[in-house]
Amino acid sequence: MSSENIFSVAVKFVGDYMNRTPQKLKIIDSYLTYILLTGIIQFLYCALVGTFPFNSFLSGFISCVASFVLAVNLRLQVNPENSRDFKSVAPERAFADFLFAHVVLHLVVINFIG
Amino acid sequence: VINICLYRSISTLLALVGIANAVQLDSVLTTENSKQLISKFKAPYKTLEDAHYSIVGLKSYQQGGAVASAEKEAACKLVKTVDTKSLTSIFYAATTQAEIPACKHEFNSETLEFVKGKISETSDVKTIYEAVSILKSLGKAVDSDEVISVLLAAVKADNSVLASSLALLTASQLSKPNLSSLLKSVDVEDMAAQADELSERYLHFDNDLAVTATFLSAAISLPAKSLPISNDQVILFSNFVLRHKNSVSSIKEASLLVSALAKVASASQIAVGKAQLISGTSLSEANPSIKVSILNVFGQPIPNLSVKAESIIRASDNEVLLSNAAFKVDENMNYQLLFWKNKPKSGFYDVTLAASSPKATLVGVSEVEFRVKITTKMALTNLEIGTAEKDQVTPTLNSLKYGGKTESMSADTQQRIIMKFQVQDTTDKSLITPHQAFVRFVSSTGQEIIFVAEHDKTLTYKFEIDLATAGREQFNSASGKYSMHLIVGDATISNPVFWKFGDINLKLGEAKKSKSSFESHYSAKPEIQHTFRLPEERPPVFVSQAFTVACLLPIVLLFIFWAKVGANLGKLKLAPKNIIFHAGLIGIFVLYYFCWKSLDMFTTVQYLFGVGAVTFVFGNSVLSDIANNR
Repeated sequence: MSSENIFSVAVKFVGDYMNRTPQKLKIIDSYLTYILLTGIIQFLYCALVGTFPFNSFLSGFISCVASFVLAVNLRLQVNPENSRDFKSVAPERAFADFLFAHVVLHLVVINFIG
Repeated sequence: VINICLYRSISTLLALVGIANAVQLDSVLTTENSKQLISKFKAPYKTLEDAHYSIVGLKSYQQGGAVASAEKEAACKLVKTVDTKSLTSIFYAATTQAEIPACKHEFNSETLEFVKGKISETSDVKTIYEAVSILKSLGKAVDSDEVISVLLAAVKADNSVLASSLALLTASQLSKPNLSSLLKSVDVEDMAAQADELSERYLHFDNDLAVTATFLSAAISLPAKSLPISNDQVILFSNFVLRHKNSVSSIKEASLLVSALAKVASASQIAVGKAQLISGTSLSEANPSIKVSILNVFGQPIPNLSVKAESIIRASDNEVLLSNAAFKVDENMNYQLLFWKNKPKSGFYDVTLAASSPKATLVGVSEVEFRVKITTKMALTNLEIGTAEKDQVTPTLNSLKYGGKTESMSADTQQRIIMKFQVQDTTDKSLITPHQAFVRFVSSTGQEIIFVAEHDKTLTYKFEIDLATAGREQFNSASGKYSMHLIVGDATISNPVFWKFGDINLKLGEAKKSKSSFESHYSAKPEIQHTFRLPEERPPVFVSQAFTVACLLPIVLLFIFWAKVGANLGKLKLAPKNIIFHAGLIGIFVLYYFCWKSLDMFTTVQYLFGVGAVTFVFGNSVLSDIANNR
């Protein structure tokens, strides 16, 4: 009974997501999924095989985490439902910030990768 | 063992300090000292003064004995050179010729009048002394009362110690003098009380030998039944005079020293003596008697004394062995007491001596204490030696005779070496415990290892070493043949033992090679090579590659998702500024790639500013276009 409930809730959730989420946000969500998976695989490697070379692992993993955070920020700012909170921030401005942040982030990552 | 020895020597030392408290002569003139002093008086003489002091010194030393002819002749020649204008010169000549019977020098009446004229109220004490001495030695009559009266006047003018002493010496030459008036002005007791004391052993006047010796002579020369100074003071003054026996600088000083000591030695009222233990402190069957000599200041035995040991007390338990035991006098005037007769136990004994003289009061020998030790012979008995297994309770030991040898033994680290013995006093067959009992092992290379043997309650010495531990710690695991020695000794044992009683072959495993300290200090140390941290073990290449592919895989997933969602580049206009903007972004990341591969951060940042500025300008334009078109 309860498992059916959870299942039906899940089906409803997926349906709602598919129907009501704007296409742009779905693109960002796909990107987030990709970043998440990459980070998880790197972490698995670290846990199963070893941390050597540790700086490379750190830069790769930090790159994933930071990219994920930046992408989430972008998603928040371009989401129409949050437009009231970010009146002064146009989606294009948000994207520009996203790009700038990435330029700075990856400068650090490259410096760290060794 | 060392502690006990130290304790004993300290207690002996304390006993010696105790002795020093009673007033005694520090030393007497030994034969060596006398020879040295007499050699100063030998002819030839340079001046009449030297001749005078030499003859007086020699006469004093020999106490009236004859002077050798060489000295007589030399002195007599100088007497003839007398200067009759000088009182001192006449004094030297007259007193010197008086000591030499064969030497006669006639002084004319003019000279005698000149001398007599010097005995006057205006003369000083020294002049009066010389004048009276001249007249006395020439056998002329002197008016005692007149001399005393002029002396009184002179002493009033000069009451120094030297002047007072000379006054007394002058008076003592007179026949039947009326001393009491002079002694009122010259208080000998008071002068002696004013003398300086040095560390309770010496009395002296201004550290001056001449003054002190003259005073001592004067005090003793006084014709009185009892001395004006105390017995202790005589000893203390004599000590000061004797202190200079090796350091007199002139004939005069030597003469004064000898004549003062002669006065002390020949004094009728007291006999100053020094007791000396000549048997040595160690007594045994071979040296059974306590031998004592009692000498005067010249180092000559004082005759006709009765000497006894007031008490002889054993130091260990204060038992009185003898009291009032008389010493016998032998042909050398030494006094002997046969102490061994009573077969005393070995140990230390304190002897208190008492001596008295029938004629005069004997001083300096009261409360004389000394410590003698009785040494005994010992014998080693019940000697047993053997080895035992580590946990063997009752080992079988081989008995051994002192002086013999065990058959060759051997032992290894699983065994113990055991030795037992007793030490017997041969006089009364009792068991004793000497201070020092050691067993010594000597290896073929000369290395020696010494163990202490300890006795138990039954006074049996037992020595036991466990080779498991001792082999490592004391023997340094050096296997080989060792010779074994027994060392037994004590201060009171006259036949200490140092006896090699056998050889033993020890198997102690591998010897550690001990480097000499020189080598370990100065030889080159091994070179220190720096080792970098070793890299961690890398995973197999296959695993790394698999994960690399796995990390890249999600990007495929990303494109699939995007395709599903329906992402496209349909709105992308191929305007130049769009192309430049995207090219700029790609350029930045290509720049990062080069930074990773080859460039350093400074150049990267330089390029980044260029590319970034262009991208920013065009990006701004492109994005604002999009925003405006929305």
